[in-house]
Amino acid sequence: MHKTLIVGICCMFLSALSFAQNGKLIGKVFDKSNSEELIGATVMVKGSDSGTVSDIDGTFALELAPGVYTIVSSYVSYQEIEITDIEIKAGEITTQDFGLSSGDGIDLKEVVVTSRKVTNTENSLLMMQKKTTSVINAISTQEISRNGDSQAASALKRVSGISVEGGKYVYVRGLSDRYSMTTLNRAEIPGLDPNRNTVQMDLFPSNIINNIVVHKTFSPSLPGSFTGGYVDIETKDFPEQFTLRLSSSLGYNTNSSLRDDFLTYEGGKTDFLAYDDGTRQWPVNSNEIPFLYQDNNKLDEVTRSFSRNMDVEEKTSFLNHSHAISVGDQVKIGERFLGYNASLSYRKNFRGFTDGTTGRYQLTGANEESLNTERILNLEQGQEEVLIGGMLSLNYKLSPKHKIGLIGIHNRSGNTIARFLEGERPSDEIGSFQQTRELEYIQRAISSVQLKGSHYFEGLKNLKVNWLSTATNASQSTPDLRYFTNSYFVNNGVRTYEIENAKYSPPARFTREMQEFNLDNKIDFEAPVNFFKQGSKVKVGFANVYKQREFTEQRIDINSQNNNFTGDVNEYFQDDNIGQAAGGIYGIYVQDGSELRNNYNGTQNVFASYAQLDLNVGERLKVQTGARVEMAEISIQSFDTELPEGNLSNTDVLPALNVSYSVLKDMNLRLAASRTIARPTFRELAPYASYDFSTGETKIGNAELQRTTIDNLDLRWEVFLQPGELISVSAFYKRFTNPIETTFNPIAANPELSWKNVDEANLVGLEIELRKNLDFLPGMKNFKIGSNVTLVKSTVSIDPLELLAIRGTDPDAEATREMFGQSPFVINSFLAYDNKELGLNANLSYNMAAAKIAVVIAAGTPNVYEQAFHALNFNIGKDIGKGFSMRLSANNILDSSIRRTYLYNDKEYIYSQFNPGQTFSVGLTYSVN
Amino acid sequence: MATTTLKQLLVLVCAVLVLNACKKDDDTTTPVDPTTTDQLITDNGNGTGTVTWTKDKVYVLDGLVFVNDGQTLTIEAGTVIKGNPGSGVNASALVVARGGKIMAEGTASEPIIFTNVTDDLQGSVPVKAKGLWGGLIVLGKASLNSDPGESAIEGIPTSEARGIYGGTDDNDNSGTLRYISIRHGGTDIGDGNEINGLTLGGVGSGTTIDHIEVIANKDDGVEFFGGAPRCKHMIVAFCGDDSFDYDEGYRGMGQFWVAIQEAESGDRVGEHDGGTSPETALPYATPNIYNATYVGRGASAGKRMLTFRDNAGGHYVNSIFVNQDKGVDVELLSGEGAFDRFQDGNLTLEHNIFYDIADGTAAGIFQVSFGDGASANTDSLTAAASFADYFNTAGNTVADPGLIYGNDSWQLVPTGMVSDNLASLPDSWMTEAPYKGAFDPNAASWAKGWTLISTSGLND
Repeated sequence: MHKTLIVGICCMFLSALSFAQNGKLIGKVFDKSNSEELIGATVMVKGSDSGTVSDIDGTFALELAPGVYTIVSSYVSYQEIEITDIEIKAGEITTQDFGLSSGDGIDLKEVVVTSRKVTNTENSLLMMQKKTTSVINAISTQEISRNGDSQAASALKRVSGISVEGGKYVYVRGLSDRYSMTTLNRAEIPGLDPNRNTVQMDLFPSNIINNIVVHKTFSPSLPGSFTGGYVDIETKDFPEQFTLRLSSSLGYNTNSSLRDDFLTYEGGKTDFLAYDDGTRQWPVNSNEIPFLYQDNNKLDEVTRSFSRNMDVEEKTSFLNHSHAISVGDQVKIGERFLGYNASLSYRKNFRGFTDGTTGRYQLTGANEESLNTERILNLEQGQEEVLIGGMLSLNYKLSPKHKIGLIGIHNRSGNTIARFLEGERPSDEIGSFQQTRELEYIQRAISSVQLKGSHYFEGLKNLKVNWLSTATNASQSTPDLRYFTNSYFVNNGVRTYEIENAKYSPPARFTREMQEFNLDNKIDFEAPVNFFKQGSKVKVGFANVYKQREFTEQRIDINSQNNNFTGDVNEYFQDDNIGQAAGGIYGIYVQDGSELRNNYNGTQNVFASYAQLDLNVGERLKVQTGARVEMAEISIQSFDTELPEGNLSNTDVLPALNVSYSVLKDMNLRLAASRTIARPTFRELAPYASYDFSTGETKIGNAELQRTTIDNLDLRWEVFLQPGELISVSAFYKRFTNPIETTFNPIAANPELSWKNVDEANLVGLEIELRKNLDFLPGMKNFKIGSNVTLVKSTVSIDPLELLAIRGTDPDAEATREMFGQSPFVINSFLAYDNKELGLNANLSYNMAAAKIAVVIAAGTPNVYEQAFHALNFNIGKDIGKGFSMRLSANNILDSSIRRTYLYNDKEYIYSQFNPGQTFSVGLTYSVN
Repeated sequence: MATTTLKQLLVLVCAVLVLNACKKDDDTTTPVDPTTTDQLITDNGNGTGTVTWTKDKVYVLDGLVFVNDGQTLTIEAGTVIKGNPGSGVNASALVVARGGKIMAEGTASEPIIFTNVTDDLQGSVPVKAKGLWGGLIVLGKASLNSDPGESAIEGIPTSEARGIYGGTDDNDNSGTLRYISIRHGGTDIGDGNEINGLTLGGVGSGTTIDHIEVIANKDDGVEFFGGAPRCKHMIVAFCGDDSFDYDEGYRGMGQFWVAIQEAESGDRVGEHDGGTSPETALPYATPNIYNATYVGRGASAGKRMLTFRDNAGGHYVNSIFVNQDKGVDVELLSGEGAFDRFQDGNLTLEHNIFYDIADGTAAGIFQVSFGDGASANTDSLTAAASFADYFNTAGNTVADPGLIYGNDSWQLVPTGMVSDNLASLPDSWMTEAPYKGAFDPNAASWAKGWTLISTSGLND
C-alpha cells in the first residue's frame, strides 16, 4: 500500500520533470463573443510546422525549445489571431489563451497581438460573467486562496447578494436557503441537515474547488428548483502542470482557544476522526425496555447498562488547526492525457462561549407596556468540530474530442457539543431557577461518485454531448443525544433541587439516524445552428434526479418515582439511586419514549427535459430562450401508517428568456424572465414532531404542502471597465404563488410550529455591484475595492387562522409580514491589495445581512429577528520564497455577537445571543508548480 | 408495529400475572381464560361506539380511546378500566370527545376504577407510583376565553380533530361521572407535559361530576380548561404537579374539594390562571369554590398553596388550608393581571382558615407577586399592603382546625372549631354545610371506603 503510494508520487515528480530541457506553452482557444471553447482550432508556431489542435476543452499544449515565438491560432470562419513575443523558458510553463472573433460580415484579416500573460483567472471569470447571456457570478480558485478561504462557504461571502447563514447555508439576495440550490459539478447532492434543503457549504475544503459559479437567473439547462441562486461547485480536472500543495494553519479564538473551562463531555476514542467508536451506541433499542412494574429486575439491569454520564465537564481547549495536502497533474498515458487531482484535508475547530443568553418573552394582552418574561437563561457552550475531506478525480482524454472523468469524494464531520443553561423562570415562579445540560454529537458523512463524459462529434454537425451520472450517499447520525433539566429554588440562601417533570421534559436521550441516497443522471446535447450570427446554438437535455431518505428516531425518558436529586448529576446516577436499589420509593428507571410517527421514508423523483436556444442575433444582441419541463413525484410515508401520506405530483413547464444587449463594447443591458419552483422538503412533509429542548417548541411537518411557483423578472445594467473592474445595477421582481412559510398552530396547547402554503408573496429588489482598481489614485497602484449592496422588500400573507390569533393580543397587527429569513439588505465589501512582484497580498472585507425573521412566535408576541452580524475580516499573505507562503488573518475584528431579539414598544428583548469571539490565525503553505 | 405487538404481549404477560396472583389466593380456583376477562380496547378512529362496559370484564385501553361525537359510553358500577403504559402519542387514555357522552355511575361500595395495566388492585403497584398510563379526558362545547375559541387539548396530536374542545354552550352535558377513582396516571405526553388525572376541557354545567378521586397522578390532579363544570366531592392526592388547576376562563362551581400533597412531590395545591392567549381575555375565570380542604407538603418544600396569575379570578370560601411554606399569591403586572381581578371583586377569599402556612401572619399568607414591569415600588407596596389587609376584612383566620397530617397519615375530619363565621352559599346547586372545609366534623368522612387513599390506610 505505502510502496504503491511512494512509487506513484515518484512518477508524478518524474512526469513533472520530463520536459526539463524544453519549455511548454499551454492555453485555451475560445470564441470571444461568448467565452466558449473552440474545439479543433489550430495553434501553430509561425513559420514552422510545429503546432497542435485544441481539444474538447479548447485547450492545447505545445512543447517548445526555449526561445521567443510568434504563435498563430485559427479556426474555420473565425478571424485568425497572431500573438508575438511569447517567451518559452526551459522547464517552465507559459500560458497564452487565444480569443477568436467570429468572422462573418467582417474582414478575415488576421489580428496581431503582443503577448500579455493572462494568469488572473478572476479576470477571465469576470469575462465569462460578461459574455454569458444569463446573470451569473463566479469565484476562482485564485481568489479563494488569495483570501485564505479554507472552505467554500467563506469564499461565497464575497459574491454579490450572497450571505452565508451560520457559516453553512447560502442565502442569495437575502432569500432563505429554501430558494437556493447547491450542486457539485452540476450534480445534486443531499444536504446533511434533515431540516434544510441545501448542502452545508463548509463541507467543501477549498483545495478541491476549481471555481464556484452562482447563477441568479434561470436557464432551461439548469434545474428549475431555485429562485434566489444556483451555486455550482466545480472541482479541478486537468491541472495545467504538476501541483503539490501542503498547507497548515493555526488559529486562536479569543473565546474558545486555550481555555481551561471549555465545555465538553466524554466521547469516544476516535472522535478526532469524526467517527464515533461505538461509545455512544445504546446497549438496547428503546422498544426492548420493559415498562415499570412489568419486570423490575430486568428494567433495573437495562437502566444500569446505559451511560450515566449526563453532565457537562470542563477541559482545556487547544488551538484551531487545519491541514491540507493536494496534488494534481496531467500525465501522458500513451498518446492521451490523464488529469488527476487528489486532496486530503483535516480541520479541527473549537467554538465556545460562556456568556450566551437565551430568553423567552410573551405578550400577555393588548396594550401591555412590555413583554412578560418567561425565562432568562445564561448559556455556556463548547463545540469541537472535526472535518475531514478527501477527493480523487481522474479525467482522461480518450481522444482530443472525447473525455471522461471519474470523481470520488468523501467528506465527514463530527461535532461534539456540550451546553449548560442556567437561569430564572419568573413566569412560573419568582425565585425559581432552571439548569439544563445538553450533550450532543452529530456525525455527518457524504460519499459521492461521479462519472462524466464530454464528446465532440465533428461529423455530426459539431454536436457536443455532455453526460453526468452521480451517486451520493449521505448520512447524519446523532447517537445518544442527552438532556438533563432540573430546577431549584433558593430559600434563605439554601438551594433545594428538584426535577419537576410537570414543567419540563424529564432527563432524556435520543438517537437519530438519517440516510439519504441521491442519484442524479443527466445528458446534454449542444449543436451550433446557423441562425443569425456565428456562435448560436441549440441545446437539449434530459435529467433525472432520484432521492430516497430514511429518518429514524428513538427516545428514552429517564424517570424516577423519587425525588432524590440534590444538584449533583453524577451522584444522582449512582447505583444506589437506580430503580429498586433506591429503596422505599422507586429510583431511576428508563422508559421507551419513541414515537412511530417520528420515523419516515421519503422518495423524490424528478424527470426533466429541456430545449434551449442560444442566439447571437446580431453583433450586440444575444438571446437565450427555451423551456424546461419537470415532472416531479414526491412521497413521504411515516412509519405510523395511520398518518396521511404526503404526496406531490406535478408537471411544470418552466419557460425562460434571457436577453443580453451590448450597448457599448463593455456595457451590457440584460433582461431575464422565467418561472421557477420551490418544492417542500422531506422534513416539511413528514408528520415528524421534533421537540426542541432549548426553545421548548415542537416542529411538525405538514403532509398537505404543495410546491411553490415563482415568476422572476430581472433587469441588469453592467459596465466592464479595466480587466477585473465592473459596475452593475440589477433590479428584480419575484412573485411567489403558494409560498411555504413557517407558521404556528393557534389551537395547540404548547408552542407548535409547522409549515403552510400561504396565498402569495411578492419581492422587489435592487442589487448594485462595483469592483474597481484604485491605480488612478497616487500610491494606490495595487489596490482594488469592491462592494455590493442588495436591497429587498418582501411581503407575504399570513395564514388566516394564525392572523386571528395574532390579533387576539395585537388587534392592529398587519395581515402581511416579511418573508421568513428575508433580509431587507445585504452588504459585501472588500479592499484588496495585490503586489505580484513582492508576492504580497492583503484583503480587508466587511459582510452583513440586515435583520430578518428567524423564529415565528405564537400569537401576538412579536416574531424574533436575527440582527445583523457585522463581520469585518482582514488577511495578509506573503510569498516567502522556495515555494513557501505565509498568511495571517483576523476574523470578526469588530467582535460582533450573533443576536436574535424580539422588539416591542421600542425595547429589545433577547431571544438568544452569543459572541463567537475574534479569531487570529497563521497559515503556512508550501507549493510546487 | 413492533410497539403494538409489544403491547399485546404485555397485556398477555399482565394477564398471566393477574392469573398467578389469583392462584396464590386460591389454588383451587379454575383459571379463567384471560381473554374473556380482559378486553383490549383500541380506537382505530371509530371510538368506543355506544356501548356498555360491564363489571365482569377488565377493559384495557391501548392508546388513546375516544368516545366520539354522538356516541355514549356507559360504564357499570364496579368496572375496572386499565390503561396500557406508553408515553407521547403512545399514551393510553380515555377521551370523551365533544358531543360524546360518558355515563359512569359508580357507587360508594362499587366505584369505577381507572388504573394501570400492571395494577392487580392487590398492591402490585405502590399507592404513590405515578405516570404509569394516561388519564381521563372529557371535552365539551362550553366556552373558553382563548383565541380562536377552540383549542387542541394538550397531549393529543393537533392533527386529531377529536382532541379539540370549546364552543358556545356553557350548559353542555358530557354525561355523569360518579364514584370514580383514577390512579397512577399522568404519563408523559412529550414536551414537558403529562396527562392530568381528570382533564375537563370546555365541559358544560350540564355534566354531573361527583365523588372523584385522583391519586398519584404525575401531572395535575384535576385541570379545567375554560367551561363551567360543577364538581362536588373531589379528592386529589399525591400528584406530581398541582392538585387543582384552571386555565382559559373556568367559570364553574366546586364544593367539598380535597387536596393532599405528599412531602416528596407536588407543586402548587391550586394553580389558577385566567387566560392563555391573550391572558386578559373575557370572560374572566371566576369559579366559586366552597368547602375546600387543602393540605400542602409542609414548610420545607417551599411550595405555594394558591397562585392566581395571568389575570385569574375565582372565589374560595369557607375553606381550610394547612401545611404549606407559602400561602396565596396574586400576580401584579404593569398591565392587566390577577391583582386587577382582586380589585374589581372577581377574586375573593373569604371566611377561610389558614394554619401552618408561611409565618402565620396576614401579610405572610396573602402576598402579591410582582411580575415583569412591576418592581417593589411604592405602588406595588401599596398593592401588597391592601391585599394583606384584605385577609382580616374578608373574615379569614389563622387557627388550628384540628387536622392530622404528615408522617404519611392524614386525618382530615376537623376536631377544631370550624363552624363559626360562615359565609352563605351562592347557589342552590351547593349542599348546605354548616362548617368550613370539605368534611363535616360531626360525620364520617365521605371519602371512606371507595377511595384508594382510604383503603390503603393513609387517610382516615
